[in-house]
Formats: sequence, structure tokens, C-alpha cells
Amino acid sequence: MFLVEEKLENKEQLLRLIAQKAAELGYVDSESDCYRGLLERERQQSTGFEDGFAIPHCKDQTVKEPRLLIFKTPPIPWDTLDGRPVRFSFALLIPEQSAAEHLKYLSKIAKSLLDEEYRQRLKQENRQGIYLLVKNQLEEE
Amino acid sequence: MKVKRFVAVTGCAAGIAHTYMAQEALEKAAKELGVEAKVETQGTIGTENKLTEEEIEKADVVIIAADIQIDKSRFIGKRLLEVDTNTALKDAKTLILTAMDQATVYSGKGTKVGGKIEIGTSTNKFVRYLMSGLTDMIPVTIAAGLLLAIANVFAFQPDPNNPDLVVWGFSDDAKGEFFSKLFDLGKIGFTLMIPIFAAGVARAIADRPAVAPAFIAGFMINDAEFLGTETGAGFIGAIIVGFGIGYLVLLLKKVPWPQFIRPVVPILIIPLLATFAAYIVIYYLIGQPIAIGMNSLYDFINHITETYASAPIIYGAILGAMMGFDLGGPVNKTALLVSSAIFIDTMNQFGPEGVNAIPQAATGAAISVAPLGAAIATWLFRKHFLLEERTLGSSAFVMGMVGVTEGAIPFAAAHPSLIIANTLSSGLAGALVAAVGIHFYGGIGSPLGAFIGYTTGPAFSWLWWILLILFSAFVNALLYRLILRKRVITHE
Repeated sequence: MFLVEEKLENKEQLLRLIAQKAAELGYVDSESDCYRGLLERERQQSTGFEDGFAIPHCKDQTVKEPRLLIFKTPPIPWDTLDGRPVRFSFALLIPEQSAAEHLKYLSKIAKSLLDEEYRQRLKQENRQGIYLLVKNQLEEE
Repeated sequence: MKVKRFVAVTGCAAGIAHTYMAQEALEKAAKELGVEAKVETQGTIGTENKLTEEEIEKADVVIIAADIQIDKSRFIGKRLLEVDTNTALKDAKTLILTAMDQATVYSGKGTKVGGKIEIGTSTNKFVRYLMSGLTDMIPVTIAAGLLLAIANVFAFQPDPNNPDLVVWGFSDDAKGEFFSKLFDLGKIGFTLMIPIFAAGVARAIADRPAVAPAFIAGFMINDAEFLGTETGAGFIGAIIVGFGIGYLVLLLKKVPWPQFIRPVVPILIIPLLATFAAYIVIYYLIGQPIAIGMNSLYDFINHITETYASAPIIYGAILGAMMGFDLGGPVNKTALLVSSAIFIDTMNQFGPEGVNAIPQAATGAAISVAPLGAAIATWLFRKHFLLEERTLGSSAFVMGMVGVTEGAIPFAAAHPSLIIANTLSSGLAGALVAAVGIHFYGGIGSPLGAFIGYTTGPAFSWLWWILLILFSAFVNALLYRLILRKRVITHE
């Protein structure tokens, strides 16, 4: 979970940042492969959702295990479904092969963003609160 | 019509996020609209919530919200609407209502939905694989073919020993050099077209790890020098390589590799093993048979021509058919070799008076029938061809007009049943010009050969030449129509 203060001009900058952080944390083998994967996915179709949320993701061999990185940023211009800029990026790192249950966690997070009420709660929380919200969501059922 | 029940399939590239978001969105909207729904997800962990035959049967409409190819063969005869996942995320309710209102019955043929023309919505996955190779190959064929065609026009010079004849070759000046290099460039394109097609087919079957081995193997199987033969295996070899490598890689992917080498399996292990396997198979099992086959085919055709010297229509038909069969492959090359060998032999023996240039007329006329026929088919029968193929048709016309038979390769490679049409109509052209008794002394093998080339025989032999070729090309177009009659593309 990262809170980014500095202004990001465009989504490429954010994707770079995601790749950089992922590499620093040792979640991926190669920062550039991770960036390329994120960018490639955006090229196919924007992952910008609505209400200021986006789900950029990278499915590549460079990813070691399924991971979620959350970035809260100043508004980034993005081709989203409702045209609004992105403030919350839920970055998913997906390996080529992995246990189904871990991947399901990521799917669950993505799905939960469809819930407007849940999004409202995420928006109001601070770092700790967001962490708990995501964690609780995963532990449900 | 009020819909009470729909089924849907969702899928996306990574198979993690949008597949399930679209599912959630559709299920939620269905609940709000008060309709029953079941949504199948085709994600990275496999298909979940799989639709049963009964559920599909009962559903009033099928919605596909996917960014990837979904096999739609189960939905033939159902009303179906296909969109991308973002459309479902954006407004699933409207999507469902639109589907109720506007979805059209899916017939198993290509359909156009959401501003995209889909290639290979065919229910037959083999056709889909071939179409994938075709999409990669088309730009190469067009770029290389047109440049080569332009250069080829400048390659015919009057024979210094006999003003009635033309010889093939570029002049010795700067202009000649320019066009001869342009010709070489076109040939490089034609050389690469084969492996690019093979790689495209293999990638559609087994994804990226199949690209490198298929490319190398596709080059190898078409490289006469490597094989030690007169010619490579042409586009039929490319089809063999595309499927061979594709399925081999698919198999290698299923091997339970030890954990520690798993990261390098797709980039190292698979390409290495597949390429090595291709070497063994192609060099030892394919190269030799081609060489032996070409030799015996050569002897056989030579024998036929001698036996039926009084019935040129017979060898004309066979030589012509061989030209159209593999479009520049071994069979085509053998026919060319035979016809020019007979021309040279009889010219040396009997001189211009007694030369037998009928075999050369058969091959020369047949060489352009396949590409011209393909072009005419794309013009007359538009609805049976994709936009890309119609573009290709026009460039096939240019190639056909200058006797570059390779212009028809993409059609035959994507729809191998068209080989039948090419073979029959090229054989028809060979038989007709031979029956009329046209001698062709060389030049561009196409209608233009009447002017850039030299024909003798009956009165107005040049006119016969043009008409018979165009007639055969037209027959070819009709045969294309017949073979592709079930394939209907809906255009905008």
C-alpha cells in the first residue's frame, strides 16, 4: 500500500512506479519486464474503471507470486469508463502459473470494486483503514 | 420480446480481474432487472460456473463479454450478442436490455459486433489457426509481391539473337541494377512470408513459445539449399510446420518440468527442443522425399509429354494443374522445369521452326490463373471475404498480371480447400492453350505475355492467349465462390 504525494502526469508514470516498487519489494524479477507487462495490458484495453479506480495488471513470468499493490495518488488522467481521473490504483501482479486460491484473492479484490458502497468506504479511509478494508474483504465468506 | 433468462460467458487477457468483474456486473444487473442469469467465467484458473447444454437451451439470449476469443460453437442457433468486458462493466443493465432487443441469431459464421470485424469466428479451430497465420502473412505478401511485380515488368529484354523472342534478365545499366535489387528484395519477402505464416499458425495453437521454433522451421522447410533439393516445400510445408510445431509445443508445455527450470521453459527449453525436433524431422524425413519426389515427378511428366506428343491437351492439363497446385512449391517448380527443358531441348534440336513451346504455353498461361482468379473472386463475391482478403485480392491481381503466382498463396494457405480450385482452373488454362495449339516462347506468364512475350500458333494467338487465361481465371473465381459458399462475412 503506497500513498503517493508527488504529482504523476500520466498513467505511464504510475505504471513505472508500480514496476519500480514491485522490483524493490522483490515481487518481480525484472522491473522493465513488469513495466512492459503493465503497459501491454493497457494497450489491449484500458484498465481504468470508474469513480477514480483503476486495476492495472501485469501477467508475466517475471512475477513470482500473486500480489496486490495499492496506490493512492493525486488524480491521474486516464481513459476510464466514466472519464474521471484515477486516484486509486489496485495493481495486480499475476504470475504465469500459480495456485488457484491465490489468484482467486486477486479476482475477489477486483470484483469488490464494483460495489459502490465499498468504494466510498475505501475513499474515506487512511492507509491503515484501507489495509483493513481489503483484508476483511478477503477473509469474508 | 421479454427475456426471462440469459446466459453469459466472460473472459479477459489476464483472466484475473475483468473476467470476474464482468461476471459480477452482469449478475448484479440481472438481479436488479429481475431476470435469471448464469455467467460462465473463462479465467486463468480455468472455466468456472460452466454453462450446461440445458441452460443454454433454455436461455433466451446469450451474452459474451470478453476480450479474448471465446469458442461460440455451443451457441449456434441462439441469439447472441458479443461485446468486450468494459462494456459490461460500464453499464451491464443496458447491455442486457440491448441483448434482449437486438441480439441476432448466431449462425457459426463470422459476425461483426461492436465495431470490430472478427477474424476466424469459425467454429472450426483449424480454420482459426490458419486465419491467424494469414493475418500475419498478408502485409508481407502485399509489400513483397507488389515490389517484385513492378521489378518483374522490367526484367524482360529482347533476345539479341532473335528479335521475336524475349529473354528474362535485367539490363546491365543502373536502371537494371535498381530493378534487379528490387526483385531480390521482393524475393526476400516471399522467402520470409512462409516462416511468418508458420509462426502465426503455431502461435495461435500454443502461444508465444511456439513462435521462434515455427519461424526457424518454416524457413528451413522452404530453403532449397538447406534441404539439398531443387526447391523448398512452399506454403504447404508452412502449414505442416505451423501445425507440427504448434502441437509439439502444446505437448511440451504439459510436461511436468522440475520447479527449478520452470522459469526458463518457455524461453529456452521449449524453443530449443522444438527447433531441434524440427531439424531432425524436416531434414531427414521431409527434405529427402521432396528431392526424390521432384525427380520422379519430373521423369513422369517428361514421359507423359513424349507419350502424348500428339495430344497436347493431356500434358497441357497436367502441367497447368501442377502450376496451380502449390503456387511456387516443388510441384509447381517441377512443371516449370519440365516445360522449359522441353523448350530448350527441341529448340537446340529442331531450331525455331520445330521447337515445342506448347508445354511452356501451358505453364505460362497457368501461372497467373490462381492469383487472377482469387482477385476476381474478391471483387465479384465480396461477402465471402474479409476486408483484409479483399485488399489482398487487388494486390493478387497486380501479381497475377505479371505472372507472380505467389499472389494466391495467402488464400490457399488459409483455406486449403481452395487448392482444388487453383489446380482445376490452372489445369483448364493449360489444357485450353495446348488444345488451341499456342506456342509460348517466353515472357510474362499472364495475359500481358501477349505483349511482353511472344506467342505463335493459330491466327490471333495473342488474343486467344488473353481470352483463355481470363476465362480460366473466371472459372477459378466461380470455384472459390462454390468452395466458400458457406462462409459469409457480415460487413459494416
